[in-house]
Amino acid sequence: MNDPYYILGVSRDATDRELRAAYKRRKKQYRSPTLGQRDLRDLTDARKKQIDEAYRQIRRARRSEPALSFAECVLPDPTLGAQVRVLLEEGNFGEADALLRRAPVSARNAEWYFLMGRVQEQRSYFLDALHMMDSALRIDPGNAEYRTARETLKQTLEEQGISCKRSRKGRWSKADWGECCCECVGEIGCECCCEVCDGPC
Amino acid sequence: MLGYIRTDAKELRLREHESYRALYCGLCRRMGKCTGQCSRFSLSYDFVFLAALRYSFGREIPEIEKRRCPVHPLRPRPMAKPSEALTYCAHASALLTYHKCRDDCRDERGGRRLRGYLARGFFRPAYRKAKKALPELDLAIRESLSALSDYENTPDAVPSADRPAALFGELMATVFSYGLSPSDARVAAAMGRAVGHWIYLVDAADDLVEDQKKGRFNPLLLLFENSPTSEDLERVKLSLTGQLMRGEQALLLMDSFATPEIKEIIYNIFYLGLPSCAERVLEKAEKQLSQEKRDP
Repeated sequence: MNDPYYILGVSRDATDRELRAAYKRRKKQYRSPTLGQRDLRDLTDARKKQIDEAYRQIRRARRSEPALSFAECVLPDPTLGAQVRVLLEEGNFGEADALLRRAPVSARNAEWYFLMGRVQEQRSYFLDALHMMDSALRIDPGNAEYRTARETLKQTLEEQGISCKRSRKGRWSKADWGECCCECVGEIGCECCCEVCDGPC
Repeated sequence: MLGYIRTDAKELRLREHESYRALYCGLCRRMGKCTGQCSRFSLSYDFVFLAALRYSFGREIPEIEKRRCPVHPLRPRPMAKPSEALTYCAHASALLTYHKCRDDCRDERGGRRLRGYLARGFFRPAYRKAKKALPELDLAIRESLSALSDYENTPDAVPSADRPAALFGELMATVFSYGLSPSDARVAAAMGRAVGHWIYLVDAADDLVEDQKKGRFNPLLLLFENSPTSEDLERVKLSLTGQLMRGEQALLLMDSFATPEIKEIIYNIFYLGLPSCAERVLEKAEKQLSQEKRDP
């Protein structure tokens, strides 16, 4: 397949950071051949060139992609987007949801999906929110507002999601409150004394 | 929808495990007394979680006694004595089981529908006793399930998995908070809403590949346009974490627990049992999806 995303092994809505990490990962796989593999050097070099070209292609496309015209970015009825944003700020999520649903199917562009995602996020419908925001980014991948909102939601769910440990003292502590210096939680015989464990573990 | 709310038994202390089993056996015994011996076949650990919460909200302390049971006749086992919390859970279990069977009769086809008819007849006597004890809860469950069924049978202009899950969450909120004081009911309802939402999504993810093969209704298939990918499952995982975060807000507002063991059981289920169950279900779905891709 000649699809640059397929060659690098990333999805189309990967961030620039993820893209770079994937590029480095792929390049690392084809580092200089060791003993016994020198007869494949030409194939390895060709593969490395393919990876470089795929990465360059994606970067070029993202940088020089013509920004969607203002008319394409915003909802056809410019007042709808403004109304929904006002309702979001007021906390009237039910009304915002109803307003967006009443919009015709032809009006479902990037901003519609993004605002729908924000509304669902506020109603704690996280799966729908992530799905909508990813759809918005698929249509308008360069939009910083959409990307930031999606990354913030994802980060909140990943980093502040519940994950707990129980220490030997029987206290429950969230993993994100800080790791014990020696990862002794739950192990007997540890004599570490640290702030997270509040004394001997 | 049952069987997802379990402890991570490896992380329970022995006395907590004994308490957990005592609640389970006590609930079974209570079901036999309140709703008939047939209702004991619908016993599940999910209602032990509800019993632990109801003990805490109702400010009751479970008392343990050793009794024999017909399944384990040789040695007496620790069992929780009859209490309001166990009585309520016995009735709620009978109501929910019967209504689930009723829904299967209406919505399913083939073998599942036949099983629904048979099970409905089997659990009807238990349902009648529970309905007599809690008529308002029966009505509330009936209305919630009817709203859920209406949603599932009406195509939505914007496909959503969270809307039906939220309807199921409301049903669980009613079950968790029924009969409590207003301040406790609010916290219990919030917990029920989050746990119900979580259960619905986990159940949908569990049946994802099978429903795709057999063309059955599945809200996740609608959302993912009938071709789920690994990225879609990642989103499901994050959203499940989000629901547990909502439930955690309610858990942290619980002022007191019936006993230290009950507190540990609830925390264990919430922080260890539920996330590991979600992980297991999603890994299984991921594996089945990749097998499908290899051998369609």
